[in-house]
Amino acid sequence: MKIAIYGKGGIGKSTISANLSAALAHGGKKVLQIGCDPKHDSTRLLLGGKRIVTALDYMKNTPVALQRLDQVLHVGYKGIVCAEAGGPEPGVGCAGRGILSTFALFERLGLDMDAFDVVLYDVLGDVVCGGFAVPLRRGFADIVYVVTSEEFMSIYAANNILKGVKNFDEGGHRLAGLILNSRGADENRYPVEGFARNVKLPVKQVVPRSELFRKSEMMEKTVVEAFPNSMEARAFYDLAQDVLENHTFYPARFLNEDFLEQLILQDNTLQTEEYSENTAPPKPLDIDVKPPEKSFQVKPSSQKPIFLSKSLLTREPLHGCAFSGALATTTQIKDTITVAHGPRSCTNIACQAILSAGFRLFTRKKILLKSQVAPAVISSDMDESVVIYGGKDNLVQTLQRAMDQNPKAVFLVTTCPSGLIGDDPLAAINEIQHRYPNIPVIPITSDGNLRGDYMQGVINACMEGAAALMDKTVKPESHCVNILAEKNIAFNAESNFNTVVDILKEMNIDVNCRFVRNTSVEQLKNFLKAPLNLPAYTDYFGRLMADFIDERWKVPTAKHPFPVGFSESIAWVREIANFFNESIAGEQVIDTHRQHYETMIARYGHALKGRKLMILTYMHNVDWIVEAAFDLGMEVIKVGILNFSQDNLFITRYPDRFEVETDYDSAKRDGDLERLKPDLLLGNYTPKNLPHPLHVDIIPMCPDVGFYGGLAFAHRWATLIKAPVTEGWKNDAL
Amino acid sequence: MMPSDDSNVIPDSFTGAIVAIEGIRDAAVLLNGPTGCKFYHGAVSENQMPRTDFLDPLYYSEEFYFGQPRVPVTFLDDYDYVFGATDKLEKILPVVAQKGHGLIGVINSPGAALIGDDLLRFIKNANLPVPCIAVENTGFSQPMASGFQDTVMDVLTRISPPELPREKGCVNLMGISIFHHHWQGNIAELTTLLQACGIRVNTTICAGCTLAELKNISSAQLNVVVHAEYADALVPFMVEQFKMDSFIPPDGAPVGFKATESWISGVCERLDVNPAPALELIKCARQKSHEALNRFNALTGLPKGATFAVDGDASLALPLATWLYEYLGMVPVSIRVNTGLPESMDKIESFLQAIDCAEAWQATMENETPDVVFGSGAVISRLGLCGDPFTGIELSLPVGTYQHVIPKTYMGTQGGLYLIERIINGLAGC
Repeated sequence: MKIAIYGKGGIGKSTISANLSAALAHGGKKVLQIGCDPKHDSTRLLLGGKRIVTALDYMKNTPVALQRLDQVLHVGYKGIVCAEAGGPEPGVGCAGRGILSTFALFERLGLDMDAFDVVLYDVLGDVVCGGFAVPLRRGFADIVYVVTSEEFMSIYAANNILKGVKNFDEGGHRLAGLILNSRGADENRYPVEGFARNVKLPVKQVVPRSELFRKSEMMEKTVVEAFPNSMEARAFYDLAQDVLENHTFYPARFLNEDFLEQLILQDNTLQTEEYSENTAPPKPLDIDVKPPEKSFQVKPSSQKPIFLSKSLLTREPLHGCAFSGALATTTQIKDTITVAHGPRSCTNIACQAILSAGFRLFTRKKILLKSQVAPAVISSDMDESVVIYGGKDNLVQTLQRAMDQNPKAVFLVTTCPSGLIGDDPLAAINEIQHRYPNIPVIPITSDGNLRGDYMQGVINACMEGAAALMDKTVKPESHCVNILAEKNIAFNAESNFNTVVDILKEMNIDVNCRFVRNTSVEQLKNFLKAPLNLPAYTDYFGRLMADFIDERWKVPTAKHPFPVGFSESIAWVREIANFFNESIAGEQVIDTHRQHYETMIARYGHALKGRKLMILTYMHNVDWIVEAAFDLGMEVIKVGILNFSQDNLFITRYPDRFEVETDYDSAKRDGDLERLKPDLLLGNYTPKNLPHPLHVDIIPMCPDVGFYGGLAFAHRWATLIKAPVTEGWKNDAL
Repeated sequence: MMPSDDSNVIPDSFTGAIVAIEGIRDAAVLLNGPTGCKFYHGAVSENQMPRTDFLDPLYYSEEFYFGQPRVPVTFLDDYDYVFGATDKLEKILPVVAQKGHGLIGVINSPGAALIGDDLLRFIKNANLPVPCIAVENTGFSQPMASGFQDTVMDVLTRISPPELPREKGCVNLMGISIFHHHWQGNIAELTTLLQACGIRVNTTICAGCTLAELKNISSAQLNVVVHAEYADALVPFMVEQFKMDSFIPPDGAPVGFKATESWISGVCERLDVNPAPALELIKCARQKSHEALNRFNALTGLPKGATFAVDGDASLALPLATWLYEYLGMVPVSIRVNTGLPESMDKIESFLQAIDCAEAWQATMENETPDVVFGSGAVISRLGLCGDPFTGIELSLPVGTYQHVIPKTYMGTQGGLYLIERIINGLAGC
């Protein structure tokens, strides 16, 4: 069971939570207590006064690849596992967002809450924003207790909390009752009793005011630990009993503020119950006591494989946002609509990137791709009031607009603002799904860049979005393949695909599904029909997609990506041909292209033979250029690799044939140009301020695939070196 | 499947705020937010008003610039949202201050606006040699025009232009941004028309101006509005702050000969200046136009009866639709306006009703593909999916990949002639 304890700040929630946990553990229960307060003092008394590293501090200071669950969980009194979310210093940042991030961390590191008998969330003060309401979401707390005292302001806060609980009340009641942390036996209990009566909640336990709490705190222990036989400890044993045995839960009701004020402040003294201190020694819970664990043991099976972008893993600055990456991917699936929950600016920016790719595709290749010029996106256009009051209704309305168009599926992608205010997309999805049970609404983890960069959004959209549509009962058939990891922003993605399709056709092989580009719900459903996946790229993203599909469905991925250049094309054709027993067809394809390749070499080789080539690029595989250069008789003298957010692994078939340097920069470039004096410098951009005039040319980040790869540039290079080294217009700069 | 509108590519007040400051040649935006908000705005700013002659990312590889010359950013991530952006703000401010800008505008992204970091405190503590303004909240999903105007007002408040003696026959142009397509050509054309009447343009507020020009803003006799929806809040502000009056063109921006005549005549009347020289230029343009149209019409009967659609702000849609109908005899099938003053929207709707084309108001183009479409590149590409032939003339961003070397204009005499050239050739199938 999972319990959330709420109440006004300073009311004693942490003391009550810690003592309750201690009482439960005393009775032999396995307990996890999570402090959800930036002050991170919830579990202090369970850990002998020790302050532990908070989850947020740990996340901030530890590389993702090194993060471990046992570093954020600590074992205390009677084996109680303790964790603190932590948060920012007062006056800065967003603590509510911190709660969301903490739970995301626990999920990613594989914390299995079901492994505990009781999980207890001790939550900051009032439910001031969406973040602090996370424990109230479905899947978190099953049971809610609200702590109050006799004071007006604490009852007022309790009433407010009930309003918050009501927002999350659909699907079943979870309120177990009130806990009265009494200010003393002389206090007037009428207001609390009146409040409880009117909101129809029982006061489950009265925790007496007592000097023992202070004494225990001085000992850095809970009362249950320090004075286990005391009447005060008994209150917690009784509360623990209620937690374990109670099966009655109540709807969240709250009072109108005027009525509440009248109720609490009217001068009316009812008789209060006498709480006697002359009682028999407290009876411990009648449950077997197990010995405590010394440290938290992480089960290997609980560690889920994580699929994170390179920037997230290496803690580099995030390029772009997951929202944008997810949108660029989900809009590639026909017959679906993507709902973007956030301000209009976010959708505008993301769609501009998609359009830009669409424009370039049309200009360069004369292909008009619907998903890139008219992406099927509806923005919820969050405005100020939504940001302040929450976006659920706004989101439901937007989902309704999507449903009105009768799509086959709807994807939901969220932005930084919706993530920061703690909007719970699942609540909105549940509401709309009741009305449209046959149209799946699939949320994609994004929250702007809160959950990662552009690449992470693409990854999440593929794994959570497209993969969710797959029919796992589909059986593989022969002579068809899926395509993985195409780059949706590349202007030549379609022409590259067409080239690959033509080659595959010559081997009697069809394409089953593109994962995820220009595809459909139907094709994704039948993904598993293909027994082999062909990666467009084996860069970081390509490798990750292959790993994901292998881990999930055990479908193999070819070793070679879409080939660029002759050697790569031969290896690629042979790999696929062998898989499908089409070796004869494969060799015929190769022979057909070989002759043309050799003709091109002969035509341009004499002009370029002996010329020295230097390459400076973001690409981590330049063999397609290098192969062409070597075949043309050129000398490749150096390859400088620039840091690139999308890849981190430089590979070449030609080690030792040229100098290679990674993490390259402009200072190194100028030195190398002086030293090596290349005839031709290739790069992804025309460089500025070269130390001396030089022929320079651009190579694309995503080259055209096929047998002729780099050789397609041979004609241009042969022509370029005849042109003046410095064009006249370059002298006209101001 | 596509949604029934394309509002997903309409920018909002966040973009408006950024282009207001980026529209000042010696000012710069410093974005407090994630890189996802930076790349688009950095590209747009550099594209719309190039300030550098090279785009080698190696040259901008330093922290905060991410390979682009404009819009440095604090690259906020999840941790920064939780813990605040203190470290990054403290680091970026002096870096940007070294670049020689006359003003830095620190703008919060929508997400950063929520976490409540006190930008003014950071700016004050940084003790920079450069004046700064802080825009903590650009608004969420508000019209781009309101974000633009709010920021213009913030800038003017910060630089506090002194009260200066009014120069007779001197005006400021107001209500145009670097985000407007062909903004430079439009300003050049309007300046030519004004100069013909002996009117000097002091500055174009936050559209290619300098800080020194803005400081002299009150030396102008009159503010002349180009796009009314980008000036409706500025007009009363200018009265209150600088006791300056403004001229708001009643017929929309000066697009088409008639609206241009109305615009220049209105300005001249306010300044008590003779509009004849400008009207003479317009008359010459009309004659040139007549020559071209006469030949074309004689052989084709067009452009009369050809259909058109306009998708744009009201300040453009009103004069353009009116001119295409009255001057060229073309018939509207769709006039879609997202942003505009209520009175302009009413005028468009009334105009359509008066010519028996009421159904064209806010109509989609999917039902009837027009012969000529005026809209953004997004609108034109979207219509291209239907497969029917038509001519698309880009009116606003985003635009396709065509690079304009000669500045184009839609306004004034040259603008009218340019539109006629495009329409004639488009209808001829060229």
